[in-house]
Amino acid sequence: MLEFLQYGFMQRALFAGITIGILCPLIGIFLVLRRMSLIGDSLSHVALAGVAAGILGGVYPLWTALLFSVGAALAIEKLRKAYEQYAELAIAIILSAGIGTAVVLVSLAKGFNVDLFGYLFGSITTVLKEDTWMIGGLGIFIIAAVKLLYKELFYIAFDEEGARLAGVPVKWINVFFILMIATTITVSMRIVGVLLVSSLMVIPVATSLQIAKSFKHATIWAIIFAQMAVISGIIVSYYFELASGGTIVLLSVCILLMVMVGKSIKKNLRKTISSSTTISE
Amino acid sequence: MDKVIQIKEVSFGYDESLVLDNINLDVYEGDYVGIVGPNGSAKSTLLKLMLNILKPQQGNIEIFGQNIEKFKDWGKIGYVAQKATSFNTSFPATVEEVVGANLYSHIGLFRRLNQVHRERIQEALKVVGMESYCKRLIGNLSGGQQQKVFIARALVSAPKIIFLDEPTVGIDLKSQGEFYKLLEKLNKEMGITIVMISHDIGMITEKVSRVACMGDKRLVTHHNCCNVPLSEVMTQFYGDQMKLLVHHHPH
Repeated sequence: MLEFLQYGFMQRALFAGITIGILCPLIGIFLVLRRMSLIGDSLSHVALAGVAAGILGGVYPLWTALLFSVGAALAIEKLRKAYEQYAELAIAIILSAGIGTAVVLVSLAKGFNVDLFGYLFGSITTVLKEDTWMIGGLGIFIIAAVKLLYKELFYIAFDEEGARLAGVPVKWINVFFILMIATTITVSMRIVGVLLVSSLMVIPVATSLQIAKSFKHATIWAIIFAQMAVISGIIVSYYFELASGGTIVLLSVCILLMVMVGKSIKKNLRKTISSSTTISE
Repeated sequence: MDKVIQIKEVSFGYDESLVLDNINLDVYEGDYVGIVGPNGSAKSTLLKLMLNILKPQQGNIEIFGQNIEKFKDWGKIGYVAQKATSFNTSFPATVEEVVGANLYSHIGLFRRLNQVHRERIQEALKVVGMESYCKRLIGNLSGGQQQKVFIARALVSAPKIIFLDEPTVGIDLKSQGEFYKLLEKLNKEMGITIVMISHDIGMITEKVSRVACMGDKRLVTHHNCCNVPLSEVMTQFYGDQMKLLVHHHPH
């Protein structure tokens, strides 16, 4: 049953998957609650341009993707100030610029479509040894940063003005947070793919919000749901030779549906029990 | 008594036109100041200036004798925003998490809540009578209960002044009565200075020690103990149609 574990590429895929299964929901919960879900999409398109630039220039693509998405993250922060009343406009501008650059770079070099395909949709067979070092290193850095800044990020997400009044350095933490989003996207690209990375940031969080009893609870459940989708997604995509990104995202949507159905069954049961108790009384 | 806030010749405008022109206001320790005025009289702007969210174009503001630009001890200041616009009711946070967030000025960057902080959260919740709700989700509480939690959030950092911006909007009459009783307790028993914007002029005349009437870019303060009837001051700002009807809140 577990014979896939003897393959090096599967060990690397699982290691990378488990890491991003922690990172994506950890960053995603703050993104969703701050109503910034689309930033993930926007930055991942820019990261794709970075990948294309890396392949074209013969540089390790994850580094160029990181460079591009960090640059775009800073540009979003700047544009958000320029268009304060139209927060989503900054995201739309960067998304268009990212996809435009990616398309131009792809058309410049016609030979690397196969490589690019893996980055677009995610692939378990392409996680290299040097990728695992980068994913592991940056993953530890982001987990430690969120742990250290947890209460500050929580306060900003709940009430940015209140946080500022309490003395939280909101401006710096916002810049740092958007850099963490860019890094998480780069780290997650190999497994889930550029087009689907933001789904892994959003869907497990949406699922956990259905059952959350506290913020801590919501964070823990989002990670559990993401892990369930990532691990089972990697295994399913190995056995059925499917693109891992799509499989993981579809499984996380299934988990969301199951939780929603389970919740409504529980609610109906409770209603039936309480009405039957009233009748018997 | 010591001056805790001093607003000196402050002017402020959003574009080219001024909304506040040469405003002066002194708030003393233990004061209970109600700020009233018609819509658009820049009451919230004045509050934002006192919280350093906005910067005056002319004049200056001192808090505890220190220029507001240099003032760092924001733990001494509590702020309760208008309930309806202040937060996302589906946010998955418990009462304890919400109140605890405001201990930031005591805990500092990178550090986490400890047992002493948790006890402070319980104490703040006890003052507002919400200690049994600490594990409940904030979004599942009624409007009045949520507003009490926000008072506890302001109280947890042991503030000397609490600013409130129309705190009773969208809250039923009974809860409003309880809410004003609570504010009176904070002011009289705990000695906290209160500065509150309100539309409820009847309440203002009953509860506060001083009224600041705003309108036409100006501000006039009125001591409840002085001989000029408040209705005359009100008429200046609200116009001749304004009649002051004092009503009582149920306690």
